[in-house]
Amino acid sequence: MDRKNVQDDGLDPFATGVVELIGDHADTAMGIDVARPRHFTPMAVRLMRARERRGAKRIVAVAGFALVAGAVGLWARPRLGDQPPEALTYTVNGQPPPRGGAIADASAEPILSFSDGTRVQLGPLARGRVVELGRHGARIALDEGKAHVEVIHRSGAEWLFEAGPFVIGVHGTAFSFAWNTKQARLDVHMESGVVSVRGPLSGGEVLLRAGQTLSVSLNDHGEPKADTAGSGTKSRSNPPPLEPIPTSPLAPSSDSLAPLPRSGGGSSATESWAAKLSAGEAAAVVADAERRGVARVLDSSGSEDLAALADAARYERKDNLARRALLAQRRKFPHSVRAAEASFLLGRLDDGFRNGAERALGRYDQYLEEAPRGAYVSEALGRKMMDLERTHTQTEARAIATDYLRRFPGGTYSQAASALVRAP
Amino acid sequence: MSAQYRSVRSVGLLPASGDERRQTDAEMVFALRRGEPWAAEGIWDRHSGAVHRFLMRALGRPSDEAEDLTQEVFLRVFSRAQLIREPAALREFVMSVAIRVLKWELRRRWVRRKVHLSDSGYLPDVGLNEGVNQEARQALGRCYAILDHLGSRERTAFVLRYFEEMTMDEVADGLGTSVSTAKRLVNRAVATVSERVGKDADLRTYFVTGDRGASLDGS
Repeated sequence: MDRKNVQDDGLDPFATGVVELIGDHADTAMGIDVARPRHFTPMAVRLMRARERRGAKRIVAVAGFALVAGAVGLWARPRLGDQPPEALTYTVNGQPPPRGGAIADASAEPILSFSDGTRVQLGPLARGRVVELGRHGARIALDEGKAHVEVIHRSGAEWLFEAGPFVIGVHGTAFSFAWNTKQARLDVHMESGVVSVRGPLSGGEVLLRAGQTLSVSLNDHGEPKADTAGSGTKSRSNPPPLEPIPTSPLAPSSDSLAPLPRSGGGSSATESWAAKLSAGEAAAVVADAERRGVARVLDSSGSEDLAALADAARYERKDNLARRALLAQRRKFPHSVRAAEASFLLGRLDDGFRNGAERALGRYDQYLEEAPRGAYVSEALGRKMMDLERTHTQTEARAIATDYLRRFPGGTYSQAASALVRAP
Repeated sequence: MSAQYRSVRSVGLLPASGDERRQTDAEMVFALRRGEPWAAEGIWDRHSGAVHRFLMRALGRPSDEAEDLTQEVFLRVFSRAQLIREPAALREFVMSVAIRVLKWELRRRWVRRKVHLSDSGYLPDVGLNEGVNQEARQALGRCYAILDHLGSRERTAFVLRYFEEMTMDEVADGLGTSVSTAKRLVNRAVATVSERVGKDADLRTYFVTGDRGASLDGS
């Protein structure tokens, strides 16, 4: 068991001893197999349903109270200083903002102060724009240079920061980020809180926490690199704090480097489809696309929106829409990381059809060729192995199984691969 | 269909791990919301082991008790599927529920302890098996008795920091408090643990003689 925190905090030998003894021996001392608890029991399910029924009755009972409370709340709201219903406002160095929202001051480091307390300070020679203002946040684009951000943590806060093709989603944190147009390089350094970074990254999203740094260069000639230096968080049940950016033969297309277009999604101006999807509103994303016209949306949407729409459609079991969004991704943003991942996801869609194995195989091969070190390589290889087995191509399946076990000995498909290799 | 095909098909594929996990977690949450029967089982299969181990290490209680609490965690998770803000962050949501269940259980035990103290001042401890390497098992029991003296928030902070290897930000998130308060809770827990070990001659001797490396079956 890793003892990094014990070492970092300089625990004395007595406290260390307690941690080590419990951490190393607790399971064994209890003398039981702790591999897995029982199944979730039917009694628990019945209990859950009973709770739901009680909850429904409670809802009816409190509805009357809620009506009264709501009326009181409306009356009391101005007095309680609740969040204003209108969009946020801001000043630049204490002055009204310039028309159009563009911010650039070669001689100083302008400070944008928002009405909810959030502050954004641009570095020297930096250029940026306030793209949109909403009730719960804003969308700010950094066209060049560096910015330091302190977002006030509020329930429902939604702040988006664009840097080239990347979008940094923030809910309450302090961090600095920089965009270099010439080098197509993004740098993000975290001070506190959590942000998510989306863009031409393998895996689609990276979460960063306090003390961590992300550096991504989309330069064709250099190796993309990610610096995980920071507070040294150990990846635990949270998603990995940073996925190392794989070296990819993909040359990012000019489309994938272009600043993201104004979001195709969301009834609120600041709510991109990606943000809605992250908040679990897949149905709303699909409904929005259908309302606006799928063909038009596929034609006008950027890479991030297409990816979000494809995911939302898959979650909502709208496979045809998902397929169209993924194909649009490949058509409009060829040679990009998302285009390669679209191949993998198309393969998964094909796998769901009765005779789709052959088609899926083609898609997985396409992905493996375009992103040999992508985020889904293990899964693509495993699924390819299973599809080959399903189509009775035993020799090829076994060859893939051998390769899989060599590369991913502890992977999801390792058991199936072992069985294939051992089979007579 | 030949046996070799059957044998491959009968292998249960484990849920995806690593990079695929977040996307598959999101799919399961959406499926759970739609009421698809496989979703709850899938979520249980993927996350119940980690919750069970977390509760067992934190409480030092045998499997049955930790298992009941694990069931409680997932009862809450399944009944609140609509409230999961970020479906891809299902693991974080499940652990946050587990932390709340842990705190609830620690507070409940604290109340029990105040009302029904045994003659020795400790609750009857049924958590440990008698048997080989008695010394190590007794040392373990004394360690948990020391943890029982911590407040529920201090103990939770201590468990999250040193057993779950969380950063201070994550500990603060888990406790629903500020980072500075989380640090204070962790530091207080460490100080209490160290002080009590210092006063426990047997435990102190056990640590000093360095017998911790021996396995509990004496090998």
